[in-house]
Amino acid sequence: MKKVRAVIAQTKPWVISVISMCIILLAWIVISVLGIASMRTVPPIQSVIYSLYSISTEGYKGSTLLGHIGASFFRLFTAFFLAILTAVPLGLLSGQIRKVRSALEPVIEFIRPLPPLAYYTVLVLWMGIGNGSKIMLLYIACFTPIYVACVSAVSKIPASYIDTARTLGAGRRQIFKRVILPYTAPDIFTGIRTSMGHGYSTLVAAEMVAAASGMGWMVLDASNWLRSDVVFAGIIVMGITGILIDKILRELEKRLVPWKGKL
Amino acid sequence: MNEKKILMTVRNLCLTYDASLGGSETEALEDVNLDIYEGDFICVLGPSGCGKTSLLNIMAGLVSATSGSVLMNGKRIRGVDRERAVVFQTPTLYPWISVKKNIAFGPDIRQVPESESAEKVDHYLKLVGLEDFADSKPYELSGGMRQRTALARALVNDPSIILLDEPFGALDAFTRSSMQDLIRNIWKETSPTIFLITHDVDEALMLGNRIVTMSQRPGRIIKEFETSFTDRVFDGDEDVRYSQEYINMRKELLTLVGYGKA
Repeated sequence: MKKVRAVIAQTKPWVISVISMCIILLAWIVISVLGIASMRTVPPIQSVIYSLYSISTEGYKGSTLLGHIGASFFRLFTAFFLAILTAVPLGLLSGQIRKVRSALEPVIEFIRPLPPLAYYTVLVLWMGIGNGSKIMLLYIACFTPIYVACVSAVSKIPASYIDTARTLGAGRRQIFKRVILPYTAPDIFTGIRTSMGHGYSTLVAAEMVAAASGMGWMVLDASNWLRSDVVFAGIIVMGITGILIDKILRELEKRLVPWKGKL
Repeated sequence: MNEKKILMTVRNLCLTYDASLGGSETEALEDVNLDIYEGDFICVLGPSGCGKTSLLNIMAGLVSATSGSVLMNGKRIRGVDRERAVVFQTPTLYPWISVKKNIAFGPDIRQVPESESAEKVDHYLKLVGLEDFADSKPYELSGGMRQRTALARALVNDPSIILLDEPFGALDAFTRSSMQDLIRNIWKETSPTIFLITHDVDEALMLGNRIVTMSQRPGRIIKEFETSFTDRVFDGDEDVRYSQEYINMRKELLTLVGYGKA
C-alpha cells in the first residue's frame, strides 16, 4: 500500500491524464471486441478511424471533412471577428459613459440568458436558412461575453491609475490608449475566450437545426442514417478542433497580455 | 528666509462631502490655510481620517474644494496639471511597460523625442538606484523599488512641486528608512519643493523643514513648526533622534495630533 502511494506521489500530472485517456480507450476496445454493445451504439474503434480516413479523403455527402470544417469555421470566425470588432469598442465605451451603458444594457441583459437556439428561429424567419442567419446568431452569441467583460474591466480600473496619468500630463485620448486599453486587455481576452467557447457550441447546435454542410450537420445527418462511426468521428474532430482553438487563444493571450494577473 | 518665493497658497479651504452620496454630510476640511515656499519640504502630520489626503487631492487638482482656493504662482488652480506631480501610497506603476518606460511615461505622452528624454530618464533611474532594473517589469520589483520608480517617474517630469501621499506607509521599517534617506538626499541635492503627508511623527521630524499638524476631522491646521533635524541627519548626525530637542518636539507633536488619547 505504501509503495502504491509513493508511486502515485511521484507520477507527473500529465502521465495521470494520459493514463485516464488510455483507460477510456481500453474500455471502448473491450466493449467492441466482446460485443457488449451493438455496432450501432458503440462503433468499433477501427471503423471510426476508417471513417475518419474516408470522410477526409472521399468526403461525406458532397464535401470532405476539411470542407465541412471550413464551412463551420467560416461561419464561426466571421461572426467571432465581427463580434470582437464591435463588442470591444462598445463595451469600453459603456464602461466609461454611463448613458451609453444605460442604452445598451437592457438589450444585452435580455439576450444574455436566452439560449441562442430560441432566437435562432426568429433569425431564420428574417434572414432565411443560409449562412446569413447563422452568422448573425453566432455574432449575437459571441458579442455578449466580450461586451460584458469589457464593461466590468473598465469599472475595475483603480482611480489612482488614471489620476497618475493625469498628473503626468495625459489627456483623455492618451489615458484611453495608455492606461484603459492595456489595463482592460487581460479581461477582454478572457471575454474573447469565453465568447469563442460559447460561439462554438452555438455553431454546432445551429448546424444541427438547419444546414446542409458543417461539422454539426454532418454529425446529425450521420445519426439519421445510423452511421454511428461517422457520428463518433465527427464528435472527435469537434473536440480536437475545440481544444486547438482554445490552445491558440491561450498562447496568444500569453504573448499579447503577459501582465495578466499582475494588476 | 524672507527672500523665498511663494509657490503655492492655500486659502480658507473647506471640503464637505455631500450627504446625497449616501451617509451623512461630513466635513473633511475646515478653513485650511497654508503657504508653500519654493524649496520647502513640508510634512503634514495628522491622524488617519483627518483629511490629509483630501487636502493633497485638492492641491493636485484631482478633487474640487467646497469653498476656498488654491493658488499656484498666484494663479488659481483648475484641475490637474503636470506642474504638480503626485506619488500615491500604493505605487500605481503600469505593469504592461518596463520600469524605464514607466519612468519615461510623462515625457512619452508629451511626445518628447526619445533622444532628448533618454538621458534624463537614465539620470533618474540611477538616482533612485534602479539602473539594473531598467528593463524589469514593475511586478518583478519589491515594494520599496516600486515606490522608488514612482518617485523617479514624478521627478523626471520636472514638476514644480511633488505631492506625496503617505508614500512609505506600506513599506517595512528598513525599506522605509532607506526611502527616507533617498528622498532627503534628493531634496538636499536638487531642492525640489516637496509636500509629504504622513501619520508617522518620526518621518515628519526626520524629513521636513516644516511640519504642519492637522486635527481630527474636520481637518484644520493646528500648528506649524520649522525644524532642521533633516539637515543634521544629512550632515551625518544619525543620533539626532535621541537629542532632547527632538524628544521634546516629538512629544509636543504627539500631543497636538492626539495620538495616545484613544
